[in-house]
Amino acid sequence: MIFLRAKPDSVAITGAVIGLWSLLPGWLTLKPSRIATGTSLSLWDSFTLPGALSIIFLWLVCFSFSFRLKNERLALLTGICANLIAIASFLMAGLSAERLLAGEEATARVSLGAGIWLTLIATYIVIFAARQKLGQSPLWKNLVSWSGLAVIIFLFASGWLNELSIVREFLDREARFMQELVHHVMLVGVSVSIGGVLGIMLGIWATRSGAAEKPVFFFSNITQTIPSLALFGLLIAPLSILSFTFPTLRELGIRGVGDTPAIIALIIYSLLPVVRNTYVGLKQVPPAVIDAGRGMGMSRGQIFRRVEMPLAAPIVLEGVRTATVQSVGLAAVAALIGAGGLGWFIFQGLGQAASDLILLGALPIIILAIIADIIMRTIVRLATPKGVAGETP
Amino acid sequence: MIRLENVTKRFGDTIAVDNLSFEVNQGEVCVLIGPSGCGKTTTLRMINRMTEPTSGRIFINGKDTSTEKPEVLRRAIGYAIQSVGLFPHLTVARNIATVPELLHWDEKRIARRVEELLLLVGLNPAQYARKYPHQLSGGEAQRIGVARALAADPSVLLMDEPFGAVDPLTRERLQTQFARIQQELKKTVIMVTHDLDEAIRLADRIAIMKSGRLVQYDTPEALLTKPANKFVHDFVGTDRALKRLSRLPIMPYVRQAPSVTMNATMDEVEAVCRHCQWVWVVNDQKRLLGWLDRGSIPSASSVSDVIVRGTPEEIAVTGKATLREALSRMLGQGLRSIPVVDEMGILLGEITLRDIEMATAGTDTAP
Amino acid sequence: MKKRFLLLMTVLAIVLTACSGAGGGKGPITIGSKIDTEGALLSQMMILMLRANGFEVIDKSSFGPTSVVKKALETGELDMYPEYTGNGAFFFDETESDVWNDAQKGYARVKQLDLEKNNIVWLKPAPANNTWAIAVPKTLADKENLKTLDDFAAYVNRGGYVKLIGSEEFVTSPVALPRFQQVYGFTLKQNQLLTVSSGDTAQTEKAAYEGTDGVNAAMAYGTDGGLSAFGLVVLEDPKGAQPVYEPAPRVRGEIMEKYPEIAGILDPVFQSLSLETLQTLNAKIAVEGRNAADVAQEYLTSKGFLK
Repeated sequence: MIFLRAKPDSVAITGAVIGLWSLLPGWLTLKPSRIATGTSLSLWDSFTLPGALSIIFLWLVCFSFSFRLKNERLALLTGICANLIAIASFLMAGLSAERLLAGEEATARVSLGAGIWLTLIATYIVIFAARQKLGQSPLWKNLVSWSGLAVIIFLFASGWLNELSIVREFLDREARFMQELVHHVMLVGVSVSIGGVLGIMLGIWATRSGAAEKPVFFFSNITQTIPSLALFGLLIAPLSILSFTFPTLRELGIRGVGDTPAIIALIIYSLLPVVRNTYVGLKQVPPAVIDAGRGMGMSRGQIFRRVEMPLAAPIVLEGVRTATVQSVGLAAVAALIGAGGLGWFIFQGLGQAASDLILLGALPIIILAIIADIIMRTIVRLATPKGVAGETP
Repeated sequence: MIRLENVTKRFGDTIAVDNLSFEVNQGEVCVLIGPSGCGKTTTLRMINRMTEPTSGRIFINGKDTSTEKPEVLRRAIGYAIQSVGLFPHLTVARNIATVPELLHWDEKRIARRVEELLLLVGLNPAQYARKYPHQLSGGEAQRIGVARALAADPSVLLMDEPFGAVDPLTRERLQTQFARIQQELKKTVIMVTHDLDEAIRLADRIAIMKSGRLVQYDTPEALLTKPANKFVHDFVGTDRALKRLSRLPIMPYVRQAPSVTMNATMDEVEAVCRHCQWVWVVNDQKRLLGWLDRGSIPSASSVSDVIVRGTPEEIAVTGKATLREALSRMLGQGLRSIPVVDEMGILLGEITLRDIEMATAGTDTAP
Repeated sequence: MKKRFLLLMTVLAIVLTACSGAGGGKGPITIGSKIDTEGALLSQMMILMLRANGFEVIDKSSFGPTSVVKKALETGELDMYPEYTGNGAFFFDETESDVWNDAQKGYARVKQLDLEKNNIVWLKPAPANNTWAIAVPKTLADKENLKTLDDFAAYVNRGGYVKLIGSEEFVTSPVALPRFQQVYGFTLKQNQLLTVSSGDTAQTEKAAYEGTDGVNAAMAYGTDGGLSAFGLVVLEDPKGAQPVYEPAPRVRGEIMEKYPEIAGILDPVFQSLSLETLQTLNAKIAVEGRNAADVAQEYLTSKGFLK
């Protein structure tokens, strides 16, 4: 009955199809040690039959609901269904890991397999689609968006997931993880702050001076194309020479390796998005508005502060958002020149051929990037003046 | 009040404004007009130093404008441009409050002034003060542009095609509104336009420019009846007589109108005007009800038999109309005379085609 | 106004960067290592020993690859890190010399050169040769009775099936595979080699263990932690074809001058580390996934270096 009069939501259907497809590859991997490859276990081998059937059932439900997502009630149900799948996956993964490791050696590990990653991606897509349809009721929208995540975080905090390999890696080096996490955030924070200010200044200069425009953009464009590791490496030599010639710099902590070249490189990479957006943001202020402001007796500074800045702010901050998200990813490479950060785990994992250690570095970087994106979007929204916000749909 | 003395502006090799000198008296509207590139906008922008003159001096109230800081000068001059340039991120109220804020007025005074100005341009403050520019129609935006220009009560108002960016109907309404405001406030206004009808309608004096030079600087009547040379003559156009009509209000030309009430007898109708073709029918309060043809009297026994009913809106012009409107109505309806009423529809008199002819006699002679 | 803001930000950045390390006590001493298991283990031992002896220590283990760590020591970003004696050949461009094939001679040479040229001191090394080696699955070793590289050469020469996986560098560098082949008298043909770009022995050992692409021999380092987990044994090098790589603390001269007691603290620890000990400890980190600091602590306590 549901299929008749169907108005399928293509996004939800895509998610549900991926979800159904995710039932096929392995869901958990059992390996004799953290550096061995291990054997992939199918859904029913991983979760035992009742667990597997419940996941299959939930996906079928999601799939059929996504044909009729136009109905707000059904959208809510679909969203909840997707959340349940995510929660169930983690719940059973935690349980199954304990079960699977029971008879094995102490060094054995259980990792998450392709199937569970695909299912998580699929639930994200379905939740996204369901959210769109729930625009009217903020309560349901938030429930659908965050309930699954909240439960998973609770599972993690309560130790339910402790038998999973990636959590074991975390627990084995918890203090160091926190240290590098904070360090990573510091690297990004400092470089985006300085790069943002510098970029805005260069952008303003490029708009004001026709002569400056070309070289400023040329520089920012070129630096963007330099591979990150190369730039980090290139900075070591000059900075070393500098720190040797001026010992006071060394005392201050500016040396050839470590945080200094990392921060400088990240600043350089932050420039282009900020410079470009500052330029565009200022140029798109209607000339009539500036003419009117001038004609009414505003000084150059007053026009800049009262008219150009508020109107350009959202676009400029979008540039800072781009730079921030970009820096979170780039800072991963900083570990290679002694600056630490979450990349440290990635390279350790690579060196040891321990895939879950690599994930311990990579996954938080992705999550940090998403969080940074959300925070910056909120900042952009707050900085958008009311009169301007009304224009964009 | 405003005096330009030998003002010249050069852009590289091009001379945009060539040795311009003229004077605008206090409370007058001076319209700068001319073909594209004649230098009218450049001239306007030199008065508030948006463009600096290459040579020559400009005096406002006897003071040389070059002696003051440009920002200070501009805060005492109202400035309204064609594209309005309202600040999109500010409400209407804050837009209007721009110059008062620059002058550090206190909040209460600013709020009162904003309300005053919105009423002046015919917009409801409760409704419009908190709107944003993107929510306004073209006409509303231009009116707020004018309100903003008037905010700090400047004695001088500079306007560059202020009614340019709207449709003809709205434009006409804005012109009427401006004329009314100007009558009330009596600012010294310099306006640039390319629309001659607008110039003729609104200006006390018109400065026609060509290639940076002042060709004729006169009242609209003088321009229409005594163009200085062939250029002005051609510029003003071959329908000068019609143009004149838009400047002439009808009240001076209104004559006594033959009218009867509904219960008049046929003899009375006959007697009211022996040489008239039509007689107007009014009620006891002298409100216009319709008309009747004297030729139909013989066959009629009462007024109600032969009355052709019509409301004042349909068949009359108001006392505030111009001769041009009266002529247009007469031609449109195929009449030789038309009744004139006040806002209530009370008959004031009538005006005939002949009256209009006499008003424009002598306008169309060649120079 | 913008200029002042920029100045403020620069000052903030400098302050933040310098904010690592304040306070009194002896030191602070910054100890680093390369990003490998053994490096982390050894540096943690150094850190724990110095801390137990009243030094304030900044932990910068797993700092970066060799080039970065080396530069960091030379610029003073690091005060000490564990380095291999055999690397002296590359630092001082003496790869031709065979002094590096002898443990004592090599150590003496690098100690002398580093002190002369860089004012860097080498403390006593561990008697464990963590050099390039060839490792084969234990099953193969048992079956074909392979204990040394002589046995391996004989096996190859009589037509035994071999597929060796190694990095580009291992296969082509004159001090690596070619040296083995030269000294032991065997040659591996192209189809008996699988060359990969990365020098990551964990990956090569994994391949030999799983028999990927028919691989049954892997490039390895003598003390690799994954060897036992992957069921591999290292073929001995009785003829000393490879330079000797013994780990020892490489310390900045200024630090040693200021705190000469460091030698007394670290020497006994390093001298207690045999090849088997390091293999076992490395395995705990690599295979069991334990924290290098914990493994180091456990070892030091068990040997009585720490109370």
